[in-house]
Amino acid sequence: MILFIDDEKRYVKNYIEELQEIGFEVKYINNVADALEFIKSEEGKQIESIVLDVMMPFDKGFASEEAKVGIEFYKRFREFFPKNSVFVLTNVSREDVKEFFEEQKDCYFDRKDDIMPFEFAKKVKTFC
Amino acid sequence: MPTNNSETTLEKIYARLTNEPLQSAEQKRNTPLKEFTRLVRLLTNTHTCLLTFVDLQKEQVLRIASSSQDQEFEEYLDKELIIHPNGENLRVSFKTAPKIEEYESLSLQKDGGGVSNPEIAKRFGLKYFYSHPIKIDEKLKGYLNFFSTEQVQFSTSLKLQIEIISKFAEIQIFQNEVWKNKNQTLKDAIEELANIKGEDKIDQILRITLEYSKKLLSKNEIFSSVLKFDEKTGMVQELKAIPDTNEKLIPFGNGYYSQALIGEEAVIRDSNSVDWKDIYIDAWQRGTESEMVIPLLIKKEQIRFRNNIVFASRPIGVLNFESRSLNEFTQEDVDILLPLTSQASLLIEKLAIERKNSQLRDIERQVLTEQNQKESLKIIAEGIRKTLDFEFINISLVDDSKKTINTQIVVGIEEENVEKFLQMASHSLSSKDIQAEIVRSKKIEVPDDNDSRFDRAIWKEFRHKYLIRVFVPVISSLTNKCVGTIEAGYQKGFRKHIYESDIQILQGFAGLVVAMLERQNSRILDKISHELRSPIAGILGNIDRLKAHHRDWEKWFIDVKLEDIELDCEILKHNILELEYFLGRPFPKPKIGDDPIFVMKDIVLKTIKQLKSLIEDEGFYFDVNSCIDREDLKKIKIYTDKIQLGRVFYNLLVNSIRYANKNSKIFKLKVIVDDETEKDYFIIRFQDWGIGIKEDYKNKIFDDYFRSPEANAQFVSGTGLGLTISRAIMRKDIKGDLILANSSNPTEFNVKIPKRYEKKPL
Repeated sequence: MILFIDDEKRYVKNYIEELQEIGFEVKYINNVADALEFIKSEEGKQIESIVLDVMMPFDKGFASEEAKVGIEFYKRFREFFPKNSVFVLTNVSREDVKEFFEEQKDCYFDRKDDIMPFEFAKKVKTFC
Repeated sequence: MPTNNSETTLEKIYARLTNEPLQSAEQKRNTPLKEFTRLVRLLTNTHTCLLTFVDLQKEQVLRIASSSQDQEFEEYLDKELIIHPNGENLRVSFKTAPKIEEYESLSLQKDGGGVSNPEIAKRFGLKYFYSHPIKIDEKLKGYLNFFSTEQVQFSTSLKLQIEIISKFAEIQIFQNEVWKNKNQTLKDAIEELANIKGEDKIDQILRITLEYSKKLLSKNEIFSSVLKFDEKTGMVQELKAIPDTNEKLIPFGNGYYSQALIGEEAVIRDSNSVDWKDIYIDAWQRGTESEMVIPLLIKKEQIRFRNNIVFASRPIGVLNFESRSLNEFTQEDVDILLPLTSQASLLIEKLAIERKNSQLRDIERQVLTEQNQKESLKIIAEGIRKTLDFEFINISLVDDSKKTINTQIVVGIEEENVEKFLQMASHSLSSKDIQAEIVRSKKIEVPDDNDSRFDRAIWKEFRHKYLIRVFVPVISSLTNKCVGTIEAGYQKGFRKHIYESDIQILQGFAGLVVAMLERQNSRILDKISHELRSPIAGILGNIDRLKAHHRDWEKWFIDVKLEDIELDCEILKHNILELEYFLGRPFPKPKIGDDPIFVMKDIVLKTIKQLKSLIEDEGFYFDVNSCIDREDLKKIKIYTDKIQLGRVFYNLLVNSIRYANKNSKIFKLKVIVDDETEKDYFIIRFQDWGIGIKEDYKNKIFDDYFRSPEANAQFVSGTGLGLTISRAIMRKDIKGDLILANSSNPTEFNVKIPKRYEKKPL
């Protein structure tokens, strides 16, 4: 199962459809708080990899800067899933964010306007 | 510790100064100059510095202290750095030494104090040079030079530190008969003052000063006290030897304390003095026959008046001595105490500045962690009040789009009047109002209390004629543009001036405002950039899918993808408008077509249909036909700018979707035409049944970048500009209005459109 976390479903549905078409089961969640609950749940044990946005609204207990919510979620995800692949798919253009993810192991960073759904699905299939 | 080399040099200088033979190793450690070296290090916190004295009378340069711990630097100094104004008369000359005329020009500074001179420092290959004139009985005796290999930020605090050293140097160099016996007492006092630790340092300084003053005076049976002056209240407070909560408060008046503070010189009186009985009504209690009051003052404190810096004394307190004997006190007693009282005053000022700087740094840390602009400004304003004791603070920011400067936060007026003040305190940048002028001139100013540039209405309404205040421009470090002003002041009473040292701290607060705005701009730019990329990614994604699969897809599915692309293009257009608004670009002029438009059918319904897929993407069921009564569709037929008005309904609907009740499966929306309530306006009542707007935020939702905490709880993204732009369009372009009519169940916005546009405008 691929857990897909992004607050704007509208802009990821093509990616989700493409992943589904090549055979992945995709679980979509639109916020980090619910996603965190999910990874701790019984169902969450089926997660093979996650697709993660970076700039997302946040509620209590998360970073005080929207542009870094994804980073904080990533760190918490790694506590439960240290080796699973993480595909960061975002519109954030900040270099510090990009650098952070590029330094992580088993982590792949792409901007949505740089990678099209078909190409992205292929990449997930390769590294998942 | 100084190197052996420097100790040898110091010994020689000491011998030359005192004409005393060199002492044993044990005694050497206690020489006054060794002590002085220690003091330099203690007071300046500078590791590598040197003090020389240029003796104009003897035409000698004396290296009087070094705090260097650097062997190499010491050697360099020994070889090279011997300075004298008339270089050729010296045992060792130095080509690039300051010339006598340079010293003269340095001493011509208005305050008669020292000056730093980066040019001279550079010439010596050093980072810092400061020269301070040494005067005895108002006669110039020489200069004390302070050098450092470290970059030193020239501040009021450092200047005070050097003045403290200079005072000590005066005593060390020019010790006379009177001082022979008192030198050790004074040194002990200075050492103790420099080593004060813990809380209430200022009170401790005053108590130590009193204690050593008594020792220096060496008089039997005198009554003494030290009193602290509070500039804010005008009260003089007596400090007991041991802190006591019942310490006496004395109002500022006509007594000797007040005379000494106002006259800025010691007052010596006895029971034969003409004013004794009028003033000294308590004399009989202690049998006092004579009295001496020594003022504790920061002399030549820089103050700001209009655009200029002038000088005034800042009162700190008084030392009071009384005796049962007549004529007990003389001018010589005053002279004996002068070095100690000057040092104490300088130390108090230095501590006050350090405390203020430390508070500024604390507030900076708080502002750094605060995301909300209004809250950040509140922290800054409150910080100014606490740190600098200003009673009135007004932080205003420039609104580039409206070309106005508007108060954001005001402190020091009654809570119930704040809203009124905020409404009144908005001025055109091209007006003659003082704030507009500060934005243009970018200069700090302390205007006269009845300056003609003050807004008279505010001046009268809020009793500003009683204030003395300073205006500090807030200047962006990126653009060098003035982006706002900080106005701060207090009631004119015992505080008559705005001190330059406080203005320096106030500039630090202005820096916090700039940092906050720049951080916020960066965050907003991040968001806008993100909001622009999202629809672009959507369009590209749909095109990619269409290219790959269109042959396999049914026509209806291809239409869905094409509609998605169309909507993303529309979203992109709105997001670009937000970017233009952020950049301060004016809105395009409204374009009114040749034919009238049915607002409900051609704009409202069209927008709803266009955004239907956005509603469905959120997982709601939505029936377009239930939103508008069929009869209303043709009710408003006017000449208007279709695109601009469309943007208003787009923003309203996007907000309804973002703040929809996620627990409901149905998205409910009602748009009703009311053409009866108001004679001159159609009202379109735009209702949704979302999470609503809390009472606290009702007045804030139209503010730039406002996002309620619910936005995060609902996981709603966005820039917080939609409603701001919509209201601006309604007011500026449509000549109508956008009002929040009901905050929940349903949340209702009223879009007011002038009926006069039923006819084509000329």
